[in-house]
Amino acid sequence: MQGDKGPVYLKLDHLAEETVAEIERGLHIVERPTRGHFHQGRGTDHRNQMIEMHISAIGVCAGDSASGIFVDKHARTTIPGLYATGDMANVLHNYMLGVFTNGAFAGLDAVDYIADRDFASFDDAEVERVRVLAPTKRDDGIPPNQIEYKTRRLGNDYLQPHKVTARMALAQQRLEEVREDMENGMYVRNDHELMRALEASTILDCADMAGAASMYRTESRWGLYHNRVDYARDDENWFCHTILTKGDDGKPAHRKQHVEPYIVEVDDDEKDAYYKQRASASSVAAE
Amino acid sequence: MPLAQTATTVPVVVDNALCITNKGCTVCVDVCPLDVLRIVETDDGTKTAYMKYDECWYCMPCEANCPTNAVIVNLTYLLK
Repeated sequence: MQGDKGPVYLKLDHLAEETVAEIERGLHIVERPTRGHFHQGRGTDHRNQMIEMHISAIGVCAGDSASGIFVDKHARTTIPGLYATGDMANVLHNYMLGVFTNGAFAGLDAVDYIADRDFASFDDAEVERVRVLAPTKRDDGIPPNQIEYKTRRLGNDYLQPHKVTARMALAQQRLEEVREDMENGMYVRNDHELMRALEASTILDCADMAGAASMYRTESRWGLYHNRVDYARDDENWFCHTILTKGDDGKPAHRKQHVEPYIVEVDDDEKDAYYKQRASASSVAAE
Repeated sequence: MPLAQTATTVPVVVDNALCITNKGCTVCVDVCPLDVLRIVETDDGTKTAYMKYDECWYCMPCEANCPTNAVIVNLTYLLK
């Protein structure tokens, strides 16, 4: 895929029935509940053929990402009393067992935290109310689904790997224009659309943060997803957290933070396992 | 500015004959994380749930939780 040699396939048709069934049980029930329906509708079956994978479906198992709101092992954010769990936190993503477990840790810790504590005051309630309800105060304007669509298109077209500096800079400029449109012109007609307007606003925040964080990271590393084409691969410096915060100017600010030692030690020969799992061109030719 | 309507096939289909919304049931509306289902009065004066907003994520709780199996989630043509 990286070298335009795709498509990428999931090949299970050489495996025994019980193995395929077990993998499917994971894919169709644990991972994505509609995946079985999808294959049924398309008339495709892992038993008979290789199945084409979209880039988002390549991870056979979940847990492929760990970006998100920075939390500790109790799911605490940097704001005391505020927790983050699931795909929006910097834990393994995209699987239900993970989010249930993570949520349980957060809940247990929160119960201790709130003992003998009253509600905090919230100074910015009125400011927030004005921001949230602004799309209801206009008589005309841009529907939230169009703000969301444009944001997603810019993310998909300009922020996807490979990461190209000029392309990401264009995205940042265009996203800034979308933000201006959203803040001054988004219009909703009912409570459902208001919810979608809030969602569009959050998605735009995420796109801004993704663009800024990608621009900050200059170490090419770990295959396609982190290939920053304007910079060489850098195995020495890539291993760290990059922390994105809201700067004094309201724009994203960045810093690096070291990774705490692993709880389960990783053997030296496993640390570069990612690079070993690829079949080389010569070994494929030999088959 | 004027807004247009775009036709689309609906993934969430409710069997009006089985739907017990008129007895006060709102389970599918309540469990939908996308807030796309609503209750509407039918031509014969009873009520039924239906999909109002075309924003389905195909997550299935509406189908799984319906006490009378009235809700079916179809994968629509564009997903085939």
